[in-house]
Amino acid sequence: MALSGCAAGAQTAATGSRTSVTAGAETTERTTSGSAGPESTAHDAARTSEVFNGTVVEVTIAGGQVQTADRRVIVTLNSRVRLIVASDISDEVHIHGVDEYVDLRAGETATYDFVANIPGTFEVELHEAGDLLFSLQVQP
Amino acid sequence: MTVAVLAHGVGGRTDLPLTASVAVAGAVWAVIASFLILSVLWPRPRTGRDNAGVPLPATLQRIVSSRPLWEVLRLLVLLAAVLVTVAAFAGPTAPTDNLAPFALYITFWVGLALVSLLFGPVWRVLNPLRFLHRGLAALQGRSPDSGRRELPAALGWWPAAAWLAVFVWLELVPPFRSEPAVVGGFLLVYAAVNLLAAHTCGATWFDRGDGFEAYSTLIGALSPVGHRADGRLVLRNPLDGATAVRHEPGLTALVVVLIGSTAFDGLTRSRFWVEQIPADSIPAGTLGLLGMTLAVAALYFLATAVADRRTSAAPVTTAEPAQEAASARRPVAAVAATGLSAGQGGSVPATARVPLRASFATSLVPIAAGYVIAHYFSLFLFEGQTTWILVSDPFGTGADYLGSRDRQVDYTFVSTTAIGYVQIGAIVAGHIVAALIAHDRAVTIFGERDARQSQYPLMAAMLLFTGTAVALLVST
Repeated sequence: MALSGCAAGAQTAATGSRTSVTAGAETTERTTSGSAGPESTAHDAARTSEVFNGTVVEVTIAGGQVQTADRRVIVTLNSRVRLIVASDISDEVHIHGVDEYVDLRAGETATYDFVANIPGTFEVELHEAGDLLFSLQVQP
Repeated sequence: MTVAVLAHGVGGRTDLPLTASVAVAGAVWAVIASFLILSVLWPRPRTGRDNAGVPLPATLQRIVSSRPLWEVLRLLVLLAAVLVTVAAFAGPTAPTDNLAPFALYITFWVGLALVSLLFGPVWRVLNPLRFLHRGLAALQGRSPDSGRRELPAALGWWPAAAWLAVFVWLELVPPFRSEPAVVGGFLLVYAAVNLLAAHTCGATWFDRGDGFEAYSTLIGALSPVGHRADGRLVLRNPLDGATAVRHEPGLTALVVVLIGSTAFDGLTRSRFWVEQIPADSIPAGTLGLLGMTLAVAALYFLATAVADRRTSAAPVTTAEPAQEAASARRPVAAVAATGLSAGQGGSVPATARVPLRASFATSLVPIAAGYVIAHYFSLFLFEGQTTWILVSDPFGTGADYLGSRDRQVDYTFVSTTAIGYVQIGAIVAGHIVAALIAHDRAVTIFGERDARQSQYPLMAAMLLFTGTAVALLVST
């Protein structure tokens, strides 16, 4: 019940956000622009997060397959994004636009936070294997 | 070797979907303009007069016709081409670090379209292969225009259409397309085959056989700058330039390949394709590209076949512009292809005229140009910066010749809103210019009353092309 973490005040201020936080349970929290409403409703249940004022994207790479809830993630410009990748291979995730690389080690889960500060639709892909994980659509 | 598969060859960024309001507004403008063009416009041919256009100032004429200037520019272009080819093989092996894929797929392919649209068919004068051919011919003591065999007139634009088909396939389909060695290999093969063909048939090969030259010539026909029949450089109506493009066999194929390939590029960026089709499937990509191109061809053929039938009883007039009638340089086949007899009064029986799909092919060029700009404009602005960043260190030696080595691409100097407007503007402008050209062709061939009959089906096809373009931009 108690709000843990650092983003308590900001949660209620964002327009169009859906916030529901229950300590210790699996919850979803996602702050998105209104146009992405229907999708976030459909996929909220699949997401887990601590208190994080932004979009959480989870990807699992197993047996050569990429599993993720949405192949197209829509976020607002300058919002925060948390990428959580669980991989059974070693590789690098390349996030185009912000041009960041995230190391992946086999059997480990990598978490990376960034701010989507460039508008456009950007690919997030495995640098070595070439697989597209998802497209990040950053709307102004 | 594993490969990173990137959108349309290089980049990793695509545009945001067009907002619905902008898309609808654009479509509405296109429809209104089409209606006006069909019902209200000029009843007699307006284009193709010998004195069309406003001559540019004499100083500019002198600068532009200066031979040394062009020789220097040609040399620079040749050096750039050599640098890119060498860097392809000797530079960094990672596609994101090598200059060659960016230089070919973005700076050259898109840049050539933009420059040609503004300044005319520049590749005809700058083509490094022509330059090399001249050099080789000089070494052999021959004239560059002579060849052992005559290039058959019936080939027309087909070799160029074939080259462009190969290039767009390479640019859009195989997962290894941004490998530097593949890019370098393509450049070498392209140069070798075209030089060999020019060696055999003379420099006229490049007119219709070099895919990139044909691309620049067609898009350059829409440029506001051009040479008049008397050789003077003029500022002119794009419709006059387009009328001057002679129809020869293969022209329709060329335009269809351009529209179909760009439409396919749009399709591969749509949510449907990204989510359903495996990114590195060559069969899926090839089928998609082929399918789009054939669909474009089928729509155009259907429209012109319907137009043919609606006007089969209509007399064909020969009130053609003086420019076409007076041109004695054109081969007879091309004269017949426009459905006009040279300089005679009266009418030609409808059965003697060539199918309309030949006569109207040039009206598709603005649509192709609109598609190219809409889909590749932002790529040129953003990922195109990478060419200049990478050229500071073309061979991966740690050098920094231009000081740009550590720069990042600046994605924010043009807003996504502005890009959206350019995209819809290019599509709608392309549609309107295409409709105007078609209208002028129709009144040239038919005379006012029957011209409209030929235009309805063609206008419907153009609206479908334009609608598809807008739909693709909305669905990215």
